[in-house]
Amino acid sequence: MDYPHRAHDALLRIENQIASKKQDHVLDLISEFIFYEKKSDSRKYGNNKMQQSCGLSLIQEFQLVVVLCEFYERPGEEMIRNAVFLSLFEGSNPSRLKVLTKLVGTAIASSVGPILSAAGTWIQQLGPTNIFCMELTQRLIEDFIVFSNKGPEQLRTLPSISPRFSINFLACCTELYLKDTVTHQLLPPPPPALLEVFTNWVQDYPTLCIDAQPQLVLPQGAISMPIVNPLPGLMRWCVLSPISQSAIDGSAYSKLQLAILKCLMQEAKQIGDLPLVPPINSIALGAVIFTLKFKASEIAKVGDPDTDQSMQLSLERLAQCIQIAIQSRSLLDNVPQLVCRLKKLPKNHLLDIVIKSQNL
Amino acid sequence: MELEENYFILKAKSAHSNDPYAAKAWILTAKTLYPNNFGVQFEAYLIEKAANNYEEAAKCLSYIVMTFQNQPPELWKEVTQLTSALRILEGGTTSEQDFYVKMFQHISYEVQHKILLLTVNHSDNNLDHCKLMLLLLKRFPQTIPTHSPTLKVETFRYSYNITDPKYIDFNITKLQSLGHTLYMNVLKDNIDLYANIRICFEANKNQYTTEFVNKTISVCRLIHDRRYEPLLRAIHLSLMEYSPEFINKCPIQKKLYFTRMENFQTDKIPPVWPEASAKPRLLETLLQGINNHNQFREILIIEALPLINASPPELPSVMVNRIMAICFEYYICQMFKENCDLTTINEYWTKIFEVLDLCGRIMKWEPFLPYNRNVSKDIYWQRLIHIVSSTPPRPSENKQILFCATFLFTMALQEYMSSVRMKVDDVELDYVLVEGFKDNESKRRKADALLEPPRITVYYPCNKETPICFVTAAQCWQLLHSNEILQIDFGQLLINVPVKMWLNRFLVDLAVYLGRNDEALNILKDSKLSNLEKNLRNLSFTVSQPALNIQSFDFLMKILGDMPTHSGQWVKNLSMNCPGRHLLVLPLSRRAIIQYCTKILVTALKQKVMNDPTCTDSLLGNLLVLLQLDWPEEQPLAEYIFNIIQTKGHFIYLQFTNYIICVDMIEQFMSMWYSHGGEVHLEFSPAQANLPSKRIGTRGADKGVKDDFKQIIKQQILKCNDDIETLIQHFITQEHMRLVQNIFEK
Repeated sequence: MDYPHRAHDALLRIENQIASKKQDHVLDLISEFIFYEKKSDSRKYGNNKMQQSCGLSLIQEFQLVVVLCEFYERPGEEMIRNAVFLSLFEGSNPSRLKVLTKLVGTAIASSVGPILSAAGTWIQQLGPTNIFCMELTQRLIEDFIVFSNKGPEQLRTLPSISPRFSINFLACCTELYLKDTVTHQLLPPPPPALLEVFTNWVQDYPTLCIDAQPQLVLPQGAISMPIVNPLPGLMRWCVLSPISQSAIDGSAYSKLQLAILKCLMQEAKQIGDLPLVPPINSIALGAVIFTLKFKASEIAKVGDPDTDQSMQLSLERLAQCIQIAIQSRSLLDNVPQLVCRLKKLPKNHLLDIVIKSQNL
Repeated sequence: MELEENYFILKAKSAHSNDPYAAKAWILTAKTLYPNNFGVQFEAYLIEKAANNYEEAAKCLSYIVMTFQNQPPELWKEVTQLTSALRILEGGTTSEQDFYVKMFQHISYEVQHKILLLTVNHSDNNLDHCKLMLLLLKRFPQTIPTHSPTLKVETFRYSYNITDPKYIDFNITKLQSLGHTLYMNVLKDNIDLYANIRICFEANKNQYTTEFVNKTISVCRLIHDRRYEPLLRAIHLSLMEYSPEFINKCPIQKKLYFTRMENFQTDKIPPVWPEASAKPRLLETLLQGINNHNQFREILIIEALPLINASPPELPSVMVNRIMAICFEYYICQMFKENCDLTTINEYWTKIFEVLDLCGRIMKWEPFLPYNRNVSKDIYWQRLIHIVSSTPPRPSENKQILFCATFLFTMALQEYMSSVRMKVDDVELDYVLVEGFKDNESKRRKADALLEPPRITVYYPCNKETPICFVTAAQCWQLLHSNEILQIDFGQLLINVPVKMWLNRFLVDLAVYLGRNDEALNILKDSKLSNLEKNLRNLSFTVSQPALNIQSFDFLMKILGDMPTHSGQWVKNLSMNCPGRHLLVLPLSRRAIIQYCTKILVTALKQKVMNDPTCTDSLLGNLLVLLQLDWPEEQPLAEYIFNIIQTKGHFIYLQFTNYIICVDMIEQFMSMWYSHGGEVHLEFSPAQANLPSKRIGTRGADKGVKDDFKQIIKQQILKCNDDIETLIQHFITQEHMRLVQNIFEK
């Protein structure tokens, strides 16, 4: 029997196992029959974790992707599919990550909704800051943005195919760029094409980031992680881009800024009777403020932050975001503390007005 | 605080040139900080306008219009530009005006109306306002008819009573307090069920009826247009009634909309469509303006009325009456203008009746008849009588009878007047209503005769309908004068209408018709009729009298001296055998008049002869002359006269050679002379009288007499082709003294 058939059979068996809640040998099945991983005996190294190396050739990887696509295109219960996906790609195996990248890339290019949905679940469950997620994201960006001309077009309609994946992907991306590091070095800005894609997403699907998302459908016993809203991250991009040395501002960030503001003004849809989660949280903003303060002190060493144009621009954008976030009730927690922290920033007219209006 | 707003506006303006997104971000922030500041809101509008975003600009403008009660000059300037853009007909617009038009369509109806109110408040020009309203109603028709029972329904029909709230499955979300948007969930694919939705709204029953007419749906378009929110709710409700889990995929945009369960609140649906009151308001403004400005009248009649014709709104009766009166005046005045030919007149009447029908539908009157020139006026009269008898007449409230009767009167009178003045072969021929003659020598009393309706004879080429037109007009007149209120209203209606010149003539004719000769005489004195007509009528009055008098003879002579040039045709049936009175529509042509006059004389003379067979030869002879005119009509009378002569044995009539040209009479005389062996002595010329021997019978002695007679007869026969008309006229004129003697001598 050739590989695809074997893999297919294995998948079916795995599905059955999961469905009948026998989780015992699932991982082994996956490891042996799907990824052809050889177990290397590392007991002598005292390592409990089994280091596995993936034994698939390139062609087999491709075949596996096809098999998985077919598998996921069959109708099936979402819970089981998510469980299968999570089982397939849990763990820290880099070779599996390669397969995952190819799989997700294929799913994006051919708009295979179920895979994207499962991938989105995977990201959300692991968390956008998880190293694997970030690596996946980076590779996807390489594939679609850096090394491809048509990539951006393919990404453009992603939110309509799988909102869950889009949001999580966004969240991951925001972690990758223009973020303050421990050493107060700002990460570089996102590639312009990616920025454009995201700007279009926020423009064309204004309620994407603020709508209530249904909970992850996971097997019993699993705790589903809440979604991380990408909006604060995008906001941070807009606010920090003027003061980032390597960012070429231009109107790209203003466009994104405007799109974010408009998005905040939209009404969100609810699910059931659960209250909506405000998209902006003060912790994320607090981090931004912190970064700004630091930058201000740096600028103060060589000039006047009150008159520095880029600083002022950053402050203005921040003020706009905060004003609209508060006005549209997108930011609800710890507002007074936030406002207090704002006062410690360099002087800016708009910021003053916003602070004043909050004090009234 | 003013400074702060200005700061934002400045920032937005300065950013606008190189970074429009930043400018918008500034304004967006400003809008949230200063929701009640006009400058900021207006700047937002300007930015959207510069970017050509109709929908966004519409939202901004709507917010401004609804929020700021006093209108700052900038707003007013925008509104003026907007309204002038709307006024321009299709195709002549610049791109900016195009923008205004498109934007306007995205504005909800209430805001549209408010904007129009601004134009009224700012200028005293009601005319412009009305024109604009008309434009709007025509260009952006809100396709919500009032109950239209003849809609063809292909698939389903539901009605939903909105006082009964139900749980329904849709989502109403608030969008910046300017309205609600509706999302409908689409799950199942069932395109067959869809159709174009037509909504009927019955305000008094508080019901929306949705009807599915054909098989494509435009729900998605409706969703983006805020005006249709209540509709969509109603649609959805009716869909839910059909099947509880029924929610359909919209086949056009193939989008998925999400819904949730929600309590349906009846107060979210407006009780009356705002559009419903637009038309009555427009009409009211137009009516008010008519007092000041003539243009309003034309706008009302030519533009506004057709607009409401299809679905007339509820209007107060005062307004309806006023509209009816105005239309009537307008169209009648138009008819009196020059160059108004028959087709145009027909058109105007059709329009008048259409307006009558429209008003009737609004006031729920029983329908009258549509205008049709070929339908006899009598049919209209019957219908009017039917309406009068079936509905209790309350002329102070229900003006239907007033209007119907007035229109019928005017219509009939118009036709009558045009019939009695015709052009025949380039000759104007008038007709006059006069008293006719009766065959039957009934002993019926005059009073009895008056109870019967008079019989009217009409002569070709006068229109046969003429008597009917006249009688209808007369009946309407009487109906309109049967009640004080009707009379007053009728008078009011006629004040502004130039039918006065007809009325004079009509009233004379009416008096004649009703036999009120004294009244007629009075009116005649003041009227502007020609002498001939006056005299003729005066003469006709005497016809109804039992006996002729001297004065009427005078009239007769005057008439004969004033004859028209047109000869015309002979008329028949001057005399009729009918129970009531007999009237004639006499043409004013020579022959007819002569006949009429002759008939009068004949009647008078006949009376004499009948009563007294021993009357003079002169009388007999004159009568015979007159009888020639209508020969052989009066043959029985002639025979009677001949019998008298026979009985008498002699007959001297020296005018014989001048006036007896009828062959039959000549023959009769000849047979009298020859056949009875000279028993009857006939003397026809002075020459005969001079003959020595008056006895007949001596052979040879009376040969000369016989020869003379033959000679006379021969001569007369040669004359038998003479023009009888001229002859009779000549006779009467020449011999009038003798005729007077004949008639009035005892």
